[in-house]
Amino acid sequence: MPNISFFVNGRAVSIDAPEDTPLLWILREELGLTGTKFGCGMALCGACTVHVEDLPVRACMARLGEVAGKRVLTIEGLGQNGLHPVQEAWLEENVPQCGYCQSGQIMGTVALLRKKPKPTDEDIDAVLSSHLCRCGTYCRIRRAVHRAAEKMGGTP
Amino acid sequence: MNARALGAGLLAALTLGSLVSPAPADEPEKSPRVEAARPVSIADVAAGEAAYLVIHRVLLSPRCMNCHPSGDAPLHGDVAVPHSMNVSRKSVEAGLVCTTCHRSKNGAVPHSPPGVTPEWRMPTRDQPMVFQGKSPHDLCEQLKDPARNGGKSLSELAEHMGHDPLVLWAWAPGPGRSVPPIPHAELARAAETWTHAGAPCPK
Repeated sequence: MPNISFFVNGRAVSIDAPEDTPLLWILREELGLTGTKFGCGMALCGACTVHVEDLPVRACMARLGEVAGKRVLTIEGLGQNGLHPVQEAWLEENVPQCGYCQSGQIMGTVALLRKKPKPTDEDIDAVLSSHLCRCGTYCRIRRAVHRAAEKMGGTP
Repeated sequence: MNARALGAGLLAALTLGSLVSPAPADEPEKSPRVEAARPVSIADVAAGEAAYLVIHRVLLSPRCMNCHPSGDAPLHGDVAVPHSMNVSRKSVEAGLVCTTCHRSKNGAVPHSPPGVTPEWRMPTRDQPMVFQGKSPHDLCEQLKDPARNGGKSLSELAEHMGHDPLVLWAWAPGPGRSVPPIPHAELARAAETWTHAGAPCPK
């Protein structure tokens, strides 16, 4: 088995596992980063969303070999100094109910705000419709996205 | 072939050849993608038009057409329903790129995202390269036009259809998906024949 090196939340890691192992397994089982959730296992729910080289990726579909040498960001590494503004907005709007999908929702929102610092409701729907919330917190999610955009002052 | 027929054939070849001759030196070059002209015979043109019709069958198969829709949303399955989850070009423009889910391999179970290359994508809004609903003539004209085909020359088109992993994927699309109606080798041969003939389009 090859040793595959990459960066997780700014930290260099080297993993001895088959290169077609899902990234999600590596994050949760090998690195103990359990903030990223297993939902459907086939990229249909968004719960396992992380960023690879600043782009959103469903960690259940990405293979270990695909991230060799790349930067992976998980919910644990999002706030560099305390909470990220999106996380703050999530708390202020009391978004989570059961919370299971929320790390994926937040990672999806950060990707959205990077491209659309002042998103419209249509922009939000175009990105976050791919994130399912079985508790139905969608209205609060939308409010929190707008609040986060305000906090960030239009900066991606 | 008698002398009269031979003469007519030569005349036709010369006439067609002149249609694709390079522009005179004092005229500006129209496009860097225009390739060196060569004489093309009537037989070449007929074979090229027939070859295009073979290509057209593949282009309108769900594996190709689903990412070349007439609207902004890619399509799903063999019945061409709009992509679930409200995914469209607007999603891509707002940060949800295709490769968020479409990765380097097909999903192992039906209805999971297919994938083959880090380049999985649909054409952009400003150059949408629509296949859906196009007649053979219209799609043929679009396909060979560098202004509408992503800047590809004829040889690059043949290379794309013959070797691009995204094209080859159509014949290994993962569980639950049909493949195009002809083998890939037949498409590659048709692409060579069509481009060799100067990419003629059926009327």
